[in-house]
Amino acid sequence: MNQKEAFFNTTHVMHDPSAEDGFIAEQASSSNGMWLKLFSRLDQEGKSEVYYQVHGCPHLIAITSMLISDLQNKSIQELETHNIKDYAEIVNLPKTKQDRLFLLEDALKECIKQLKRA
Amino acid sequence: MKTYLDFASTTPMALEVIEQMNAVMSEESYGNPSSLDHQFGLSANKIVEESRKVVAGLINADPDEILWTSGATESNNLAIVGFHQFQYKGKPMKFMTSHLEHKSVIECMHTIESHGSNICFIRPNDHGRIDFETFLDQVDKNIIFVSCMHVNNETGLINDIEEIGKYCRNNEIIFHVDAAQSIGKIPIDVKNMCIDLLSMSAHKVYGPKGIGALYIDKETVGRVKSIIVGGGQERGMRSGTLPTHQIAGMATAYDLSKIRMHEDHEHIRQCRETFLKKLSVISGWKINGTEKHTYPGIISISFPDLYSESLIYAMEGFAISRGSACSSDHDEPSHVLKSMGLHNHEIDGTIRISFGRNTTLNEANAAASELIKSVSHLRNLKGDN
Repeated sequence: MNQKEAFFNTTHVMHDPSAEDGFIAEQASSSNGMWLKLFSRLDQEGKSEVYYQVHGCPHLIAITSMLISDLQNKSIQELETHNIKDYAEIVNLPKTKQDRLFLLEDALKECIKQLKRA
Repeated sequence: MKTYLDFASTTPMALEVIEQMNAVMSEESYGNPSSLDHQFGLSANKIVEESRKVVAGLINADPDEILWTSGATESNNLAIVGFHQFQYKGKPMKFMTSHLEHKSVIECMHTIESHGSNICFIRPNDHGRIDFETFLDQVDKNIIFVSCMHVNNETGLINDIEEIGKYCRNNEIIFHVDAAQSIGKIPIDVKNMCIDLLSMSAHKVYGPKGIGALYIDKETVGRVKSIIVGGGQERGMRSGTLPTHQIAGMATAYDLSKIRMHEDHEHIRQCRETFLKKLSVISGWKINGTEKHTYPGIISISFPDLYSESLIYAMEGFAISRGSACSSDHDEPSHVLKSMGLHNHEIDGTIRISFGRNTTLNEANAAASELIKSVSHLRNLKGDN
């Protein structure tokens, strides 16, 4: 999936976060008004299902979309080994936008923490 | 191929302009227009002077009141800094402008401030416009120079130039107008509008980049101090060999604009109407400014819940711009939108769409459709749909 495809891909966008279906929502935000929410849960076999909502620049949207696509059906151990920096290369993330990676990293860490607790 | 809707930034050159420039470059007019000892120079000089008449004719000036520059930015520099340097006698002078102005005007004001003079900024009215009442409320008797743009490059708002000009003339205040966005698009008469200095460029009206002019009223201003020194061209006020082909291109563009002004304006108004009618099916957006007193070719739209960079990215088939550079992480938010009182999230969600002579009604309609689709996509990503 390239940047453009990822930007327009809505497969894992969370449309109804109020549904009582066991999703755990986590939100991360940054100072420039961009934000990211992850909604996650583990199925009976301990595999992940992750959805998101995002507001921000095209790079953040594209990386989020790519990342969340790759986070499906993974064990917690597999989630923990995920390297977000790989996505920065795919979208040629400008140096001035490196903070987007921190936003994603924070959100993913929180997500994993919550899944472990659950 | 993208549809170009960024005409406020620059315009494609008109075919007639390209043809004229080609002709000038091909003919035996490649001589230096200042070399009047031979036919090559004389031929170039004739083109330059004929072009000067055309530019002067568009604004009701005399040809000897027109000075060639590299564009409106240089014209602004020459008008403000050049005027200050020529008049400054060690005693501070007070200049007035607004935060709505182009950066080149604001930076020039800071330059003269560093040279010992005083500057003050007029606050626009609630709609982001400088009307006469707003001006009158804030002008004081110590001001000797006012710089006010005609049409704002981000919002399209038209300031009350004629009334401000008349006030300035009656009160012996020098009045400079940056007409980069209005020249060739709406009528300008420097005599009736009491304008002393007028900055012009060619590339916003289908002419070439790198050429512009400054009108200097010979009665009220007469001279400014050159900020580019050298061979003393342009009566010693702007040195540098004149680019004959670019000057000819500018004159052709102005000639065309004069002929087509009404037709262009009406067509662009229809583009705006078509676009806004289509866009009205969605909510959550506002136009920065008012419909009245606005040049129809520029629309500044804020989507306070969205991020303009993403909107522009989502509008794949169209070349539009941010209303500002605020979302680019390293730049300051638009000083224009800030001075209009917009909040940061409104500025972050602002885009500018600008129509031109070449825009079709179908393109305006399609742009609105694409924008609706893009807004829907981004709101969907936020969970708002």
